[in-house]
Amino acid sequence: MLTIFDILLLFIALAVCSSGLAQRWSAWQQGRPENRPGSMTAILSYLISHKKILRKTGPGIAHLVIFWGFVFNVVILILAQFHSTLPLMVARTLALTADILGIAMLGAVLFLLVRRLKSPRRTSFAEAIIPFFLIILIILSGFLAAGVWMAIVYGDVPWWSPVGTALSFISPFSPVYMLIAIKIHFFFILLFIAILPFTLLRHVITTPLNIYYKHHHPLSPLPLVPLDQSAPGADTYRDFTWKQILDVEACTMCGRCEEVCPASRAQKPLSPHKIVRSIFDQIGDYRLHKKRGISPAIPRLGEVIAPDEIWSCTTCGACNYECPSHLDIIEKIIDLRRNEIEQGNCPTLGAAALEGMVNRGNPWALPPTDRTAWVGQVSPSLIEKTETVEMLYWVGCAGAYDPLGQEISRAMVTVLNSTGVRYAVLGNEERCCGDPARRLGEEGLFQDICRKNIITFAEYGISTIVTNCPHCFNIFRNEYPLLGGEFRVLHHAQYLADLWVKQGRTDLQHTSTESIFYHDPCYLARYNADIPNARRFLQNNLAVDVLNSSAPEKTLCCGGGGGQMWIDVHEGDRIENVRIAQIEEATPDTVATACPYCKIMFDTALSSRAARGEKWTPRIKDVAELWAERL
Amino acid sequence: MKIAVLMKPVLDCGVHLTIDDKRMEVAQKGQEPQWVVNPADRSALEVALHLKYSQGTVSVHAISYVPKERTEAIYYALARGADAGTIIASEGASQNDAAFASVVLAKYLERQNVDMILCGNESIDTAMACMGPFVAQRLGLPHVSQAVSLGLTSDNKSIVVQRRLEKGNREKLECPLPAVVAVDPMIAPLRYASVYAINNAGNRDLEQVSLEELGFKSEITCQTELEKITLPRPRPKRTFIPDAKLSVAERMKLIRSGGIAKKKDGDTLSGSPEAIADAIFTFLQEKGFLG
Repeated sequence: MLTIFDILLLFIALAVCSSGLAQRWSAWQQGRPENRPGSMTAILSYLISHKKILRKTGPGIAHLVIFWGFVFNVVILILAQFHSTLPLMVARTLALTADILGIAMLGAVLFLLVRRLKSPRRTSFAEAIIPFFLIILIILSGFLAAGVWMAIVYGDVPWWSPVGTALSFISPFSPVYMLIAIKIHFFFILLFIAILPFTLLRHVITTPLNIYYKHHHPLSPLPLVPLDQSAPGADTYRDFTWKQILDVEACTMCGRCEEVCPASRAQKPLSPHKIVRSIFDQIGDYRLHKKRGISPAIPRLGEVIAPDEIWSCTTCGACNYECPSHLDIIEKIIDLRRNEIEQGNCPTLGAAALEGMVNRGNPWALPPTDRTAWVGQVSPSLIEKTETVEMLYWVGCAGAYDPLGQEISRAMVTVLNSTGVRYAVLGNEERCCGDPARRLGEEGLFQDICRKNIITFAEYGISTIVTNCPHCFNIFRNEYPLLGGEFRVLHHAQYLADLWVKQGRTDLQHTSTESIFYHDPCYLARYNADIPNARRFLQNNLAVDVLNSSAPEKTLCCGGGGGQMWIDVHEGDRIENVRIAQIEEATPDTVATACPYCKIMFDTALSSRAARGEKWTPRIKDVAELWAERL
Repeated sequence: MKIAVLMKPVLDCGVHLTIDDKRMEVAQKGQEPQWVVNPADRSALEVALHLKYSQGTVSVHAISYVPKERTEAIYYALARGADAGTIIASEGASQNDAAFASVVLAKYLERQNVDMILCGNESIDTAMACMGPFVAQRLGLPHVSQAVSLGLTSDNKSIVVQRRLEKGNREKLECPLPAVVAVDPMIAPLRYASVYAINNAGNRDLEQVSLEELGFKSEITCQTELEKITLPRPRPKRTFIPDAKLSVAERMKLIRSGGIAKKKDGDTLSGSPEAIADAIFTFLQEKGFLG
């Protein structure tokens, strides 16, 4: 039974807990406003299924056990306070479940503790390790209390409390001792409540809250930044929205983002985990400083996050995709980049690409009048104002200017010409889609380009766009609607497959016996995971065996996205080499992809391999080229 | 301290160019004119801004002598952090008349009481490289051109400038202020000004000065006159003598493509990367570049 003193202690613990939570609350209230509708279904289904946590089986199951053990015991604890008389059988089954769950929880907590201690990542002892010991102590003291109690009231055959019974043999027959054991258990629980907001345990509150407010998709479009107010970008943490700050509080330091990040894997200076923790620590330090009256100025994010870190990101989305707490790390990195751009600190090569987009309409910075130079021997139909077309084939800057991309556009036109579809290309009126600008953090330029393109599309009455570049595809499909550009956007592989079905064509030649590895482009497999995967078209339409079978969303970036085609952080290995080394394990004859960036990046990696005299030097081909080969 | 930076917008020269015979001007082929800021002037602006941010008491004033609506250079300067911008409307005067432009600029600068005038060494369109010296001469100020580094002395009364000379030589000068410095683009890397910053600068007030206000009569006497403008003579490509192993047809093709027979023994290296690296290393050693 609870004494007055116990209730007083309980209130103290709750007061400490809520003051800590209020502190957290005030931290994220300092962010900019953002309208985020919450979803109760999202959080309930997530908690029940543990979907993303279970992507890693061991720790996933351990977390599941601890979560349900915790919920179960809290329910029992509350029930026990009401002296309600449950039927004996039900009560005993519950007791048995609690016992078994207790043991399972103990095992799970120990397992997670060992993992965390062995992890190479920086973990604060007070923040991340003490909670583990506390949970262990709570479970142990619970068992101890049960053991003494069993020793006292021993009578029935206690099948419903195996652990308690086992412990009862070593426990003294003393009601005082029992009382002490129960009190210790109680105090540990109070301690748990009190330290909750100040340690990793806060994730019990913040993470579900974060999942409640999450976007439907982990890589939802970057929200539009209004440019009539203050400069875009985050200079201090207060330039983040409240949800972005809540994100930081919801991080459980599991480090899965770092494990999947291509930049981290290539020993580049970037670790998504470190970015999140730096922001978190900076907010905490600032709060402390303010309390002591040391530094009244809001610290700048640049003090804890180096430019090389944010310029290493390829925006491949692996971190967002893997994060079990649904953090949006890319959005933060882009906000940091926006700030760098506004300060004029763009990497030199990136600035050249951006100026190319401003002055010449393409990040290759080549003359806009050379946009049709790719045509060569093929004859695409050029758009005319007098005629409406079924679909616009958007060549893209890579397809128009880069020799490797030009091969893709020519293959695409060859295939399209064979179908009799009324398509057209924009020719010299095409300009960059704005994706490199947006990912490099040049929001103003993106919006400028986007508006111009929407006007061009409207002039020609275009409603369907097909493109062979996943970056153009993603921005047309998901981010142009932000500025009112609603089009039906298709990726070329998807379009060709549909067309083949529609026209009932079966004329592709399946003579080649080459083995193919299909590299999934991030902007298709992750950013647009809902569209059919091109791997399927390779298998169904081109009848080739695709060597890789792992989930498309797990693909490793080629290193070309997010403006990385133009900026280069020299530290570490090159990301394309890391990916090629992965593909080498399968030693395919051909590496197929559906993105000109991937093709360009892999080509550089493969030609440097060829120069080194390595034996395995596969072809690198786009899906459209493989298609054209089989006509 | 007040620094004036002379900024000039130029046609983007990275595209296909042609000559507009009627107006006697260089034009961009097949596109709307696209103006950019002269790179050397951007570098000059960066030098001024660096002094502003490191000294604290410096104000940067960007000046452009252009037709009224050609605001690109001034807005760029304001977007990057210049404190004030002035357009001296050049309506009715030739853009290519550097001599007259320097008279106008000197007239304006006379009244400004500036401590330092910075400009690019040369513009990438006309490339006359005389604006700095001309302005300095008309104002009676000391002048340093081809500056590749610039610093203030501790008393802020003079500057220490490093000049770029021929063949990689450098010259270090100390020069009392006020002075005119024409900088080489390598003095500071170009910095990107975002569309947001440039649009924001567009909302700021510019000082507009007309030639009449500076005391020039409506009939402007050109000091230099452009007689003729032509595209550069197509330069023959420097190709090495075709390899003897090639077929005649191949060799003819190479020679017809404008190749000049220059060197008897070609200095292209072939072989594995290691062998090539070795050959380059030995070459550098023989020539005394490496110890």
